[in-house]
Amino acid sequence: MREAAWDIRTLLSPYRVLDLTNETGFMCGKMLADLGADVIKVERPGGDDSRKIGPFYNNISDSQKSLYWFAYNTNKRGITLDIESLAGRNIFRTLVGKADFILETYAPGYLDKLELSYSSLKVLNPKLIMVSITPFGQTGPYKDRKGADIVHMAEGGLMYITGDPDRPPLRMGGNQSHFLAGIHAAAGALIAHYYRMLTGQGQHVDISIQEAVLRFGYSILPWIAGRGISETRRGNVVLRGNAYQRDVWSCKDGYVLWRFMGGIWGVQDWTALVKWIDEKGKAGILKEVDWATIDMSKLSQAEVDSWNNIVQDFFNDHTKDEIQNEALKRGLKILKVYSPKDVFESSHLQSRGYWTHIEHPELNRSITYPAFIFLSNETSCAVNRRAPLIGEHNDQIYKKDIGLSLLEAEKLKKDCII
Amino acid sequence: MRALQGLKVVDFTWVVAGPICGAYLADFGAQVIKLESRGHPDLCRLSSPYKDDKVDLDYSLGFPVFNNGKNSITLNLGHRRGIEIAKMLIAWSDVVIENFGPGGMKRWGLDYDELRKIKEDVILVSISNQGQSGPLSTFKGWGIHAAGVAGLYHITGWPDREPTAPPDVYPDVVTPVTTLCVIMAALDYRQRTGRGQYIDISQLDVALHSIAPTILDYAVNQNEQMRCGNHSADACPNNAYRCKGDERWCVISVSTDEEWKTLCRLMGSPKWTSMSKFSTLPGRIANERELDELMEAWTCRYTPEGLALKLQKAGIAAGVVKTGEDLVYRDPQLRHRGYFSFLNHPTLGKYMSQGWPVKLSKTPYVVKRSPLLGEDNEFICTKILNLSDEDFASLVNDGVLQ
Repeated sequence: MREAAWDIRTLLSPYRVLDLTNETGFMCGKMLADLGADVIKVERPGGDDSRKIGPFYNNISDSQKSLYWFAYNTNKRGITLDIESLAGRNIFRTLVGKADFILETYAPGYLDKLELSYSSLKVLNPKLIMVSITPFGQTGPYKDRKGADIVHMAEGGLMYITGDPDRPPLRMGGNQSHFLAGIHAAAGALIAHYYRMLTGQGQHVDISIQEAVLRFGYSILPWIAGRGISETRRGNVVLRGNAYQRDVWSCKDGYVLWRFMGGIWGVQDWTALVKWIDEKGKAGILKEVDWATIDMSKLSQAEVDSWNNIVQDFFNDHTKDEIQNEALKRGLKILKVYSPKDVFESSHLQSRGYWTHIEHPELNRSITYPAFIFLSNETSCAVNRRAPLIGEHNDQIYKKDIGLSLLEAEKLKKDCII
Repeated sequence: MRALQGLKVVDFTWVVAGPICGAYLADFGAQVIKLESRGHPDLCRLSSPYKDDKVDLDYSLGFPVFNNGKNSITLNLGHRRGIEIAKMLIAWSDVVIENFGPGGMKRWGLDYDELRKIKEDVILVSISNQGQSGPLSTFKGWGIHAAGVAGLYHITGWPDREPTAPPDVYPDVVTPVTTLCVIMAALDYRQRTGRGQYIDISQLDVALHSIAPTILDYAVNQNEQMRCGNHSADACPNNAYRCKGDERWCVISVSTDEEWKTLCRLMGSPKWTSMSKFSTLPGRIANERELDELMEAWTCRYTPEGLALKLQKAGIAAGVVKTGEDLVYRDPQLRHRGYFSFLNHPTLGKYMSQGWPVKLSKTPYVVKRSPLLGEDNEFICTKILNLSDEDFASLVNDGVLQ
């Protein structure tokens, strides 16, 4: 049941989601919630362990003040429920009767033991779509293996190709395997939802985080192509044609991003860049190259390096803002590497209305959040409320929504079920 | 019946960030028509490696990764009748996807207002690098640029070295998946309300959500998070460790003190493991470098596969740093799940294709081969648009179909 104040011009407003996920599934619920669904986070009494992930508000560890939790649980409501207890399971089944989606990240088999697996719940609600997110999926020899971001990134092939040759393979910053799993899980949920629209039937959606990472990685492409070259980590260079090229360039006070391209893809950039360098009298041999006819596949490393050195020296003479501002004027595809501060202060994001201030009454202040995933002329995608506190909406859901009496609710609370 | 049976998509997109969305939809059963141009072909048709090193628009082995399951029509949009055919396809479709950047569709008179005249409830999706509005909107860059502006480069790498890829392609990969979610939701909305819409989705907006906690850390605490290698604040050890063999590595992630005790036992409880500085998570983090060296002296005696199995059996999160070869030929889990499949293709022969990380119990995905350039010109004109054979012939003769 929606609250009346909710904006009905959201895409998924009629649907309810029970979100029992840990950090590997947060983004799935967040996506559905931002698209307008009524997402209810179901935690165990006392709050989930995933509230203990940092960073924290004011740098002080506190399960009610995890910024990781804040970031990925906006727009959700929250209740506590012990689904391992008999009474808790019964309440859960009542909730399932009114739900359109369930999201969960338990180890395969856990919900079976509680008789809350998809095959049990679909009897109560044939339209139910249940989304299960696990490190390796619901079946197979690895199904019981334990995950962690670094494990997912390694097993999905991304680490082998990332990092410097003289140091260990590297994972990306942030828990990107969780983000990848979350968005694919939301995609799976909504593809299943489309089928439900056509047929009225629900189904079980099984997400493998390893595969979510693998789908991102290009490491396996040469193998698929039958080349037998396993690309390895080479710092910041990528093999294009026969030479290694870089995207990240140092400059006076940081780094900028520019991609060396040949022929029709690169001629505009090269021409503008050489003109700019030449204005400073430093273009040298770059002036002699016919950039329109450069064939990337025929360049030697020595040739590429001789050009790159001039470009690198030029960037080193300038700051990242000087380079970005001038590049934009000249129609060159160069942007700086933004730090979190740069991101926050970006005039581009501000002009798009990307930031929204959400009240945190419990902290007596508001916090700035990314506002949307997309913009539309017809519907809104916005952050309307902060992430729930532990059991914040127990009364709303248990009393108003499923009609527990005050007495029943008090008893459940006393027995540590809610 | 397929999950997306009957869903009709016109796909104007090219390169990577757009095409993956259409391929995803196609593999789950949508009919996706890719509008292509022989004069300005999709960059991915021009990308090495090529089958048998043959540099040809139908021989790139990279193209199928993003375009499996689609139908291809080569339409000359510089020709008035080319635009007419495009409009007929839009009238037929449920969803139109494009990624030309702001103003791209308007150049052909195919912007949202025009499309609504053809089809009142059209869902038009524009995927771009930086969005359709704002000072950087006209910037036509690569995935690297969206990753850069989103702060992903800044936080990936070693603290004492420059930012490190692979964020380069990250926005290219996460944006189409997110776009797919929005499309599905917009279809539901249209079903309920009868209304279409225009959707502006950018690689930047999506990628920023992937580092939302880092952004909040700055917004709230003014902490400027920095790249920190494999370090985690929530687990230690948490790194890749050298194993037996050439460039063989395992990863181990220990988040609780209980797991740490188990790991010490598995290592045979050498003397150093009893040092009190390693007994708590904060202690291990404070002495991480020393700990990693001691760990590696142990791991390098084993194969990564053997070690991962041993640790997993004891309840510790561990794995193998898998190479492309490991994944394609030796991964028992992927084999069990049928992640890779072989497809037959007229020019590429038998090629291996990836699946999706999403298994639907009733309506699983089915991967189909990618189209040759313009392969479906006749089918699309005569069977979908119901043009006569004569009309089709004249479109070919007049260079409308290239």
